[in-house]
Amino acid sequence: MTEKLKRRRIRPRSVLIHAVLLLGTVTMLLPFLWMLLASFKTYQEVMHIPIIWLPSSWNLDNYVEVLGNMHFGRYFFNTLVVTFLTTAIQLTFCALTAYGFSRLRFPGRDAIFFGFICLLMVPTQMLIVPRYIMMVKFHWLDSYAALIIPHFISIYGTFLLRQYFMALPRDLEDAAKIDGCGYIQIFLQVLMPLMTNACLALVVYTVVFNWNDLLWPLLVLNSEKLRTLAIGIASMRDEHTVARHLMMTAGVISTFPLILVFAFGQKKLIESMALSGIKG
Amino acid sequence: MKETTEAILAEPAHKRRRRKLNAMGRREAMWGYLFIAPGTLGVIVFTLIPLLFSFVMSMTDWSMLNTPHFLGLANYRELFQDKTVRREFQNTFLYAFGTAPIGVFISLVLATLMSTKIRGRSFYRVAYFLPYVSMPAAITIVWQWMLNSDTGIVNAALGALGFNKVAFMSDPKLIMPVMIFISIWQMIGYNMVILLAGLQNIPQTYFDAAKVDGAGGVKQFFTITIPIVSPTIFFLMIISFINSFKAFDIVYMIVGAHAITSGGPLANASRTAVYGIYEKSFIELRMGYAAAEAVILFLIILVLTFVQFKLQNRWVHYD
Repeated sequence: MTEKLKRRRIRPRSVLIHAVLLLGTVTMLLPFLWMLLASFKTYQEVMHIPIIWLPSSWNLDNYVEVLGNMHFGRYFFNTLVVTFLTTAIQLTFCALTAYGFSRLRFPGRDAIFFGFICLLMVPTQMLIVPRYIMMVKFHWLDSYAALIIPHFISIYGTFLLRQYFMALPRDLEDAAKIDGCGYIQIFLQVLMPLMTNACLALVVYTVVFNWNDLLWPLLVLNSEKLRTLAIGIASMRDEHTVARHLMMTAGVISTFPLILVFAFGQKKLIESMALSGIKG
Repeated sequence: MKETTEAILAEPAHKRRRRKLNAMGRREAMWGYLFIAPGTLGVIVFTLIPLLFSFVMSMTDWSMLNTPHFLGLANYRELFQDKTVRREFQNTFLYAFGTAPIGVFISLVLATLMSTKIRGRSFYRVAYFLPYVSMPAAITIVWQWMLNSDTGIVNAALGALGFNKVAFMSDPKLIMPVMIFISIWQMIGYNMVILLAGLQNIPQTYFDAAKVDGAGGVKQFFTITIPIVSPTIFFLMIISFINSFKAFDIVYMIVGAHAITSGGPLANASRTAVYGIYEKSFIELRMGYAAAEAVILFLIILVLTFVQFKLQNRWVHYD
């Protein structure tokens, strides 16, 4: 009896909570849904007033047009390559540097690391002008070197991984040293396998940043064939002539890969994002 | 330590061992330098040198085409009198002050609702998180269309409810609120994930005790939830502020289409500091002047980051 009453009393409140959360969910997901629906519509359908909600036929004509004739297939591939390379290289060098700063002792170590910490506060947006000039001088303009090499080390990534290296017990290395392992072996075979969570956090952060970044690629890339998805979208916007249903198709191609990865790998990925949250 | 040193000095056997230790130490140091060398070199080349170069450049009239002249602080003097620059910083502050407090507050309310034992929590969490990983350039285009006065679904919904159409995307008075809205929409999921972690640390007994005292949900929210997660709230505020100061993509997507009329009212109402740096350096080719604006922006972010560092040890979610 009391059990029943209790349940009944709780109900209206949880209905209210669900109503609020669902309203929020609709606001969060509506743009993606709207974009997805529009990617199947025709020009007439997207420009129609009053609004047509569902496309009349579910064909892939827009995707063929955007991926092929508008070269988004190439942009997609470019973005994938740049994101993959930047992430892999950055993870490697951040891990090496972080290992040096955390597990090895040498004169000047803490002073150099303090320098890193000081530079952690410098936002890269502030450095675009001198970095751009540097790319000009190195003759890296309009090549992927300009996208990848300046990002081969991340101070934040080094800082993040160092914190995790510090937390690992020292006995691990001592045992390995007695077995005659060298530093590279200790790094690769003993410590790195224990760093998967920290590495995942950095990978997620780097992938999301590089996949979506607009400012830097916009500055250093000119050729149409090197464009990334973000520049592809931005230049569609500038050209004025591109019809809306095709822009939405390009939007789906640019946003859905990461969205799907997060939707399916959600628990681990989202939690690792929370761990990497100390980014300033 | 002192004892061992004396012992080593006294006995040759130990002396040998010490030499061996030293050799090991040298080897360790050599490997240490090797491990940090590439990263340190990268930081020097791609962060330290550009940083120093920014300061030097900000005191010249360099356009990348001329021989630079040293101007002293003339760029900074001009900067403080430049109406466009003033507007850029005003907009940036407005954007930051709009985004950070409102965004964090909404996230906190939603996270609190979600932290009660309700069904579908992980579904909600993903749904709210997806905007955070989506490309700002792409979603700005979608929102631009959704908020369009003729073909947008938001205005269609307003019309169906009997309201007048609102020119969200073309009214200079509304463009900043719209930018703040899009930015909050993108940040909520991230804020929530971090707040949820903080909320889980609050012992249930606090709420039970409050319930016995007859405190309702709203009162519990203000007297228990907010005070306990306040370090997290403050942390997120600072993070949101710093991120807002770097805003570029949304502005570029809104102003970029109006590049010819970049002095127009819509552009004036939405241009931010990073957009200003971009325009001054890469469109007007005033590298030195742009560098001066970058230095000012840096100083503001520096102060904010300093606050964040000071408060970092108060941030609970570091376990």
